[in-house]
Amino acid sequence: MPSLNLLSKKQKYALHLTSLDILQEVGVIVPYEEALRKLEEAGAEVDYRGQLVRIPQHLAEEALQKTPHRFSVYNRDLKTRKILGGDETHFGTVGFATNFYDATSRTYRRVTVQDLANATKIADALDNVELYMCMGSPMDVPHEIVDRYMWAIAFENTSKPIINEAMQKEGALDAIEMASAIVGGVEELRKKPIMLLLMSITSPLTYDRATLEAFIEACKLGIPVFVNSGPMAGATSPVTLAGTLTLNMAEFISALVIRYVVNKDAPLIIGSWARAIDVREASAVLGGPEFALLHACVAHMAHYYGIPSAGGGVLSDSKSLDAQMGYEKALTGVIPALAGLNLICGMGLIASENTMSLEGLVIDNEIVSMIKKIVNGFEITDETLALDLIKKVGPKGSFITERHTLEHFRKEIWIPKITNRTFPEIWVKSGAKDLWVKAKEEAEKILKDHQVLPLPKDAKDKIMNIVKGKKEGV
Amino acid sequence: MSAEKVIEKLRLAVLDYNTDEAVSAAEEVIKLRVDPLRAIEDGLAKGIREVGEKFANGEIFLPELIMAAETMKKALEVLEPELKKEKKERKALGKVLLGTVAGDIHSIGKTIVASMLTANGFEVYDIGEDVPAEKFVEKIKELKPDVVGLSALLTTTLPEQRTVIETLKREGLRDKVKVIIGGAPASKEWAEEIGADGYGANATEAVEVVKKLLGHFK
Repeated sequence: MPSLNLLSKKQKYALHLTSLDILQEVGVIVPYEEALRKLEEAGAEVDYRGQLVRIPQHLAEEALQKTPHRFSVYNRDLKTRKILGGDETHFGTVGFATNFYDATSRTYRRVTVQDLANATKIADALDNVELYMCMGSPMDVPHEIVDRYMWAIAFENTSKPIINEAMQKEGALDAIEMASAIVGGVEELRKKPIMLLLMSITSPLTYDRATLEAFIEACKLGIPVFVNSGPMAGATSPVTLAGTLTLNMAEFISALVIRYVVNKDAPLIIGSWARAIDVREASAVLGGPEFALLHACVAHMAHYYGIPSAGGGVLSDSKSLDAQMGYEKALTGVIPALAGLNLICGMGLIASENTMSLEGLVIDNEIVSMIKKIVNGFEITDETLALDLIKKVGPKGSFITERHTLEHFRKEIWIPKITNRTFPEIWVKSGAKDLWVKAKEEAEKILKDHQVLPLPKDAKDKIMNIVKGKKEGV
Repeated sequence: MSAEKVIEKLRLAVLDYNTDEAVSAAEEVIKLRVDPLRAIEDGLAKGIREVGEKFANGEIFLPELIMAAETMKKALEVLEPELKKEKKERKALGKVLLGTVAGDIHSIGKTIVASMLTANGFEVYDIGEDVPAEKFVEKIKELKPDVVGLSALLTTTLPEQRTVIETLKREGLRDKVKVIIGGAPASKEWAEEIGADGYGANATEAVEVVKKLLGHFK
């Protein structure tokens, strides 16, 4: 249950009304005739020449109301399922890095197919990665079809639900074909989706034609869409966080309206990457306090509307696995989690999502584990209040030998995997190693020992053929 | 008002990010028949150089830098027609044309690079987003820039940077301009691969690259 509350009811209402005004008076650019026609039919005011759509309040609120409150996504085993929406918070990796950080040499290089395969395999093994967003954009394949490679590497190296960008209709259809080959058909895929198609809105208030086509195709087929938008406060949205938030939500509502006029049954989750711009470097700030605040508030608004929410979290702008990474990831993770954001994506990347790190992914798994413990809180019952026990043990007594301690400790106390708690002398004697060294050992162990659920051979062949076919076309 | 006073007014307007003041001072320049070139050099350019230094020192930040560049731009809009009338030309460090490639609608990075270049004494033309190669050609022929900057923010539009360079070669324009590229998925290796003259990882680097390419060393 969400336990953080940053917005009063009055404030949420003010944000909501402003979003409605933005949609009604400013509008969104929708450069796709089919969408424009459908929106006009539904009651929107459409300027065909400027491709500008103004959405009236009644249509916006109808779309909000009729958006599915939650939907399920599945692992490839079609048994393990995650519900997106409602009160659950799930965690996942984030994409789409073009760099790889080698912690041992402290150097950067471009992501390769092998890097991505390794990272995906590690993500598959880590318990706290629940959904897998393709972590990297391999730079050793043809740029034009990099998304096909990303899907293929993902399907091969993890059996968890996959999120990847669908930047044009063809790419979306290829991804759907790959996934259908795995589950036995597009109807099966619709019933038990093993992937989500990510599509980005360009702030402020602008859609891109190619991604719109992909979005609408996915909606028609009922394949879940992850609508991303990341306005930059001070650059592509007002520098004031409230202005950024209300603009971001207006953009999402416009996506809900498009979904609504295309297919009322299509599952959709909004994904906010609203952030601030760094006023020295002009870079996007993903690890800062504004990020944490904005995404907690996106969670609040999504709960207000009763729609599934996702967003960035467990993110850092640090270029290495240092203290900055630690505090940024922890704070941008725990705050939206306490606010009840349904899906928090950030694991595995550093340097403002530009860079993949295998050790970083293992560390993030630990951070998320700790966040989950905090978010889950603790039970207060007669058993846990333990009055009888306290009476029994009494003043000056010890609880360590009590059966109550044995029975409850695993549930009550977080047991870390790599977090160091040893006494200083022991730490020094063992080599005074920093956390990332332990994480590296863990990553190497996983790469050596972990078995990914194998793809059925015909699916594997089908996927390879799709990639090969596209490669020949380039 | 004397020439010195109005030129000082221009300089201070830029330092204060006061667009209204700058425009009114520019109009005064014309009314008083002060040399517009002198007004630009000793007023606007001087002011923006000071702003650039303050930014480099960490005394002011991006929004201030950008506002100063905007202020200068608005004043230039008033003064440039006057320059044209008198058949004079600005003594900028160079002329830079910037655009985001076809299929890509991102603009913020390019806007910041434009502001930084302006603050560093360059004449900048931003031809917008989703610019097809043919339009780059058209604008290069029209404006005759020294440097052309290509921005791409998506891995799918990145290849367009190569397309623009190939198109310039075909049109016999490649050796008439220096081409620089930028954007999150771009890199020095990619710049080399496609035959660009330079790459900047951020706006500050972009300015350094442009300065080097045009032979201006610090």
